[in-house]
Amino acid sequence: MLGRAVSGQAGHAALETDGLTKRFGSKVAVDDLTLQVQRGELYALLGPNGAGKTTTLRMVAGLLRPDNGDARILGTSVLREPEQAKRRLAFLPDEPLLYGKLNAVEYLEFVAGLWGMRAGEAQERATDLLKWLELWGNRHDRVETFSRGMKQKLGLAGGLIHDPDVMILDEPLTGLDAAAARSVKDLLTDFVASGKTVILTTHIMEIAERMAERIGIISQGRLIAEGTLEELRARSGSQGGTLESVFLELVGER
Amino acid sequence: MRAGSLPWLLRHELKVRWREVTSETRTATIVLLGLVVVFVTHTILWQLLSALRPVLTSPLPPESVFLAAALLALMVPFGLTVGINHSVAALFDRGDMDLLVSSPIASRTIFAAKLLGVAAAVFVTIGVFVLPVASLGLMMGTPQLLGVIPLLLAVSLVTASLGMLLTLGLVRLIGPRRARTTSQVLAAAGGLVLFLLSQLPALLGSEVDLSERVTRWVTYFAPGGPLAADSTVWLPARTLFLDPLGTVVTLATSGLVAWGASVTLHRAFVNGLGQVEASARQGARRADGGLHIAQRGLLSLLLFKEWKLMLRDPFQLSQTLLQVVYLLPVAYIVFFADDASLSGIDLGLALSVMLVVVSGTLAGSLARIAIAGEEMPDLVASSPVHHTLVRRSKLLAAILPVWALCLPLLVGLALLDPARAALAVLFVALATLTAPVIRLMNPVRTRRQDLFRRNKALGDPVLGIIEAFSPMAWAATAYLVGSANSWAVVAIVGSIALPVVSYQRARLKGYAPVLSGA
Repeated sequence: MLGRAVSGQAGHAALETDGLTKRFGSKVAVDDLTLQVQRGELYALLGPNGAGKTTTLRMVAGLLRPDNGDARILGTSVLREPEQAKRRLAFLPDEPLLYGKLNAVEYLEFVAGLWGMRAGEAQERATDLLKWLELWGNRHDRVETFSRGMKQKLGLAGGLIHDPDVMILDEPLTGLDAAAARSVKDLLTDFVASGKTVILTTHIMEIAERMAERIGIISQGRLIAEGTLEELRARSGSQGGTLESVFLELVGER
Repeated sequence: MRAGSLPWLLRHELKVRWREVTSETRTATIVLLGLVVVFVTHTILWQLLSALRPVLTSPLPPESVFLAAALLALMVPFGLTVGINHSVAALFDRGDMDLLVSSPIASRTIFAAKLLGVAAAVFVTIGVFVLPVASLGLMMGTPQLLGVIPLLLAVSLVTASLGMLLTLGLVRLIGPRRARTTSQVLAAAGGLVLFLLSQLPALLGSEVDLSERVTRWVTYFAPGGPLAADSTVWLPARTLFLDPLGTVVTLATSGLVAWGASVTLHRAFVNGLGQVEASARQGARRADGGLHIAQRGLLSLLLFKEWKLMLRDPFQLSQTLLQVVYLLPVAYIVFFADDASLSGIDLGLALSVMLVVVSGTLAGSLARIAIAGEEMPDLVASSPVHHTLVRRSKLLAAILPVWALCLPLLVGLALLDPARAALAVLFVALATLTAPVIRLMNPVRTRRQDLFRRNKALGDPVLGIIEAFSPMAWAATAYLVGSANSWAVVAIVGSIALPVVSYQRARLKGYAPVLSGA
């Protein structure tokens, strides 16, 4: 279901950012951010509101041009070779990128076309994804008639149809009910298990605590801590504490 | 005012409508715009009424009722257009309907408040153009013209009721989805109705002797004829001159129509709301089967997406069709007009200029939908498609339908006057290219439902004005070039300067080129 195993230039991390900086007027949204996410890893980027998480992800996805620094997807620079880098990537913001007036099949057809997929391959993959995500019965319905959970699932199908190696998700569980949230979590776990990479932001600490192998904490545009939960606990000095207490401790330090 | 009563609900309805209009515009701007509109309408109507002064004596001659009837004939289709549009909004845009319907207020009261809200919208919209008649009447010593107020009130009530009846009838007959598109297209076609009415005699009987037709009509209108000035047929029109009987009968009839509508249609309205919601939740079901994905090149994929979204948006479609309607008079002259009726006019040049204005405006509207109305720029920007291809697709999505529409007219023009056709081709191309280019340089994104609401859609007012004036500038240039006028050089410079100013303005404002990605 989640496609072929990850390919690409051996040795390159799934995502590397190098001194990534973005200013909006006098406000520095992201400040000299350097991080590395390995292949087959689920990496959670946490931070308080306005910390620069979404801005970072949008720069990595090629939606915002950084003022300084660069980001590389599997070794390909987002700035120098944006089309090549985007080919390996799926970006899913908190509001799914859907056209209300298209139906589910037309939407997937359009996304598959954008990523240059052959019609036969796209058709096969769209069928599998719609069935797997339990949207098959609604495939000819316009997206505007979908519930929030169905939209989120269709957004995921759009992200997965071109079989990306790296998925970037901004608050993927926003507004989902328990069943839909479970489906998404299962999907992300399977995706990572197939050797691919997930980078996500979330305000739900429990998600990061249970699913992420490594966690980065960003505050005022800077990466203030990074590591496994244990490493973060050690850093914050709250041994045995929940991620929430570790997070508050680390963010409060600043 | 008792909470939950009709006046209370109507006050709420009017307050919400007022806030919708004024929420994104500063009070000073509204006052300034209002003053400009008042000044312009008074000036134009002053000219018109001055010309009619010999007729507007006191007492008014019986024949003056024909003038009132002509005004009424203009007000009714206009009112119906506004009435349908606002009825569609009341039914489909829901707004506070869930709250109201779930409250213990009777559905009849809710519907009556909505109906009166629609009537108020008609009153204000048409009032902008016709209410100055009352103040000018006072200034010119013809206070009878105050009758325009009760006349407008009656027209508002009747057209709001008819608009609601038509919309609800369509929902029942053809279902909510088709009803929305159909009613909005019907509303947009209000102007077309007026045009067709004006052309009816020519369309119906070209072989009938004109003098014979005129004689027959004159007989009808002559004293003693069925349509004589004192006929009861003109009772509503006499309201314009505050004729006591006409005013009472017209107001009573319109009140009765509105009351009848609120009594008979309130259940249909609530059912219609339910149908609309059910349709929105249900979606379009199709016979089961697999799915088919066609193989398309990237450019055609992007173009098909743009056109599909345009065609599936009833409001955008109706607003765009409204502009296509403007092409019809041009088509009519090209294909049907006889030489005699056009003597003394440089027909080829006139048609070229009209084509340039209409095609440029239409291309600008389509560009507005495709570019400012792009719902998901992030999806396209995060894909591996180069942004130049995306921009090219937006440009073509706006231009190709316009060229397809203009082509038969240009061919017709070429048969009439090849030199003028060449002029038209050149300037239609320039006008249709410039409008989308200005949009591409102006990255203001707008919600699709606000695209044709000028106060919300323009974003930057300077860029909005440039967009609106660009087709006019090219049309003026076409006219001056066609007339071999030396001012053509200035017009060409001006037409080219508009997109350049737009580009500079966008840079000054710090806008990034739209749809560029990183």
